[in-house]
Amino acid sequence: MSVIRTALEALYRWTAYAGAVFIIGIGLLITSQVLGREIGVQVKGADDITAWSVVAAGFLPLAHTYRMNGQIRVTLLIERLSGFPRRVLELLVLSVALFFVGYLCFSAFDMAWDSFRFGDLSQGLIVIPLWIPQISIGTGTLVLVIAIIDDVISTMLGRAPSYVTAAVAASEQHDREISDRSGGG
Amino acid sequence: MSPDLAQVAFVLLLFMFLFLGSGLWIALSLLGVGWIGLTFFSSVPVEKAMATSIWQTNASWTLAALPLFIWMGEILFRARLSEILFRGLAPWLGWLPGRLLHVNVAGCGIFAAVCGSSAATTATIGRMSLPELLARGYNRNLAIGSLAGSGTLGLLIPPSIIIIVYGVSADVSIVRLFMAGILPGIMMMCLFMGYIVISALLRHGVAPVEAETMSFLERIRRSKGLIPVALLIGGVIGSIYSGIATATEAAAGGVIGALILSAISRSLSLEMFKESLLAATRLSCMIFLILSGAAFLTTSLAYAGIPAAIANWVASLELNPYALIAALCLLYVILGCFIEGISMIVLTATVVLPLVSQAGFDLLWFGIFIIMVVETAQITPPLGFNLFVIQGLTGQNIFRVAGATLPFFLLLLVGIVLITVFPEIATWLPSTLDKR
Repeated sequence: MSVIRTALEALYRWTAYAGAVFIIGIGLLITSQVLGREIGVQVKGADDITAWSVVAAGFLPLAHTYRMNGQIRVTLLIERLSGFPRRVLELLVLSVALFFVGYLCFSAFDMAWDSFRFGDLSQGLIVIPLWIPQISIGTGTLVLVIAIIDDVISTMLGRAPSYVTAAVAASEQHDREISDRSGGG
Repeated sequence: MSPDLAQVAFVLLLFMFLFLGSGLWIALSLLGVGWIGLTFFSSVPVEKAMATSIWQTNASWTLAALPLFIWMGEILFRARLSEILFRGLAPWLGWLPGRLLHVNVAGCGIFAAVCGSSAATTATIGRMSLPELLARGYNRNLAIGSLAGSGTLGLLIPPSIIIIVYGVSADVSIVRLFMAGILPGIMMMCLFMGYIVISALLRHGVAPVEAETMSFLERIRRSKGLIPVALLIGGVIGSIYSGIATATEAAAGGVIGALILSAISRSLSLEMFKESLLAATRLSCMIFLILSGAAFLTTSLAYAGIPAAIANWVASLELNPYALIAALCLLYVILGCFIEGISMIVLTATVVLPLVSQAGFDLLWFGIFIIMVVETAQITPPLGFNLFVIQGLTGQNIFRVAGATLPFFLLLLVGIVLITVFPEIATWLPSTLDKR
């Protein structure tokens, strides 16, 4: 069991790191483009690679963001519930989320598969098969699907889902900081 | 609008409320309503339309500005920016009646400009400035009110994240939007400061007398921390305005600048670098997913012809354009009680934008207008989103917070009326771009 736990945590963490690396990459690409323009060198295909990196940076960290309560929702109603009704509503919301994210995942792999099947190539200065950058949407959403299933199971077992735990931890830290301030003058 | 289409729109709206209300994530609510619309009310293959619309929206060079500006904000956030602003601005604004209250306004404005969320600005600056102001004996209501109000005005000043989000949703040039926001931002700052000056002159005891007087050199020394911040924001705005850099390029420069700045203030460390980057990754991931959900919903509704039908229907009512604008204001003020600014804009863009351009409004102007309205909505007494942030910060009853914020809420409304009557306040600066 704990092996699975460790593997899952690593999966969530490393997809987030991958997204972060893509953000650094975007920064470096654009900087090199600007510098290259100054000295009259064109960085080949930088525009396209930047655009694809944006997709990867946006989709790979989905699971991590979701688990850290980074995806926002309206909690007006759900936070007023507790105990059994709360668990039922969380499970309901999670199931709906699982369905739509699962569908998105299927749709993303379907798109990449079509690009692969028809041999679609990118249009710009740098020519590569289009399914390679497209696969990042499917990958990110697949990990999110796993994270949601993970939460469905823990909620059924009576534990709080990951994003609730993260939200509670964040607000506790916030309270601590405020009391630190007022306590310390 | 045909009865059939009206029914479809009603069903979709119902699902939207159901999803949002039950606590489904906002991005997935958008995606879900889009899925329902396409699956049940069209013959389009849904699985093809979904990923394609999302791919087309996200694979964009322009959108690269978003994670970079967010990262820049996260770095500055950790570089003790609020402290630098407070210390650096105080010596210069102390002569104005109301003294340090102006620091609240200017500090919030600058902070929000680089951070991009009024809720985060209110929380961060407030954590620093409120205890300080109250300890020195400043008027509680003015301290709270100026904090709540000013968090919102910074979102008009580039490089604001919310402006980029609107630009992407409405397909309006981000450079032009950035330029359009500057004058309204300055205008709001003047209105807020003017109000504080007048209150301080009319009522004694609003601001305590401070014994501290400083020589000019002493002031310079105190505020040298401001110089890099000023250079950074000035550099971002200047390079975009002069045409040297696009918004995306300025964002890359902004990240480098923020890293240098944090190195100077000795807050840069490997730990801080990693934390800021991961925080930026999460925040941009959240915004990208919302944009993706909205992109698919837009596609779905467009297949059903709903936005066009609503636009035609509203046009057939032959409303006064200003009545339309007033109705939209009301809608956003209500939404502002539940949802934070960026989501509000993305959520409504699909239906509202065709409506507004049909009514003959300039989408560039509307961007500035909607950002002001959305931000006003968040301090609407007594239920605005940011009021709860301040409640959490001060432990004050929400009605007292709302009462303190009310004058600033009204000033924001005055600002909205001003840019509606004189749209040039927003559109003049970008129009000078064309004349070059």
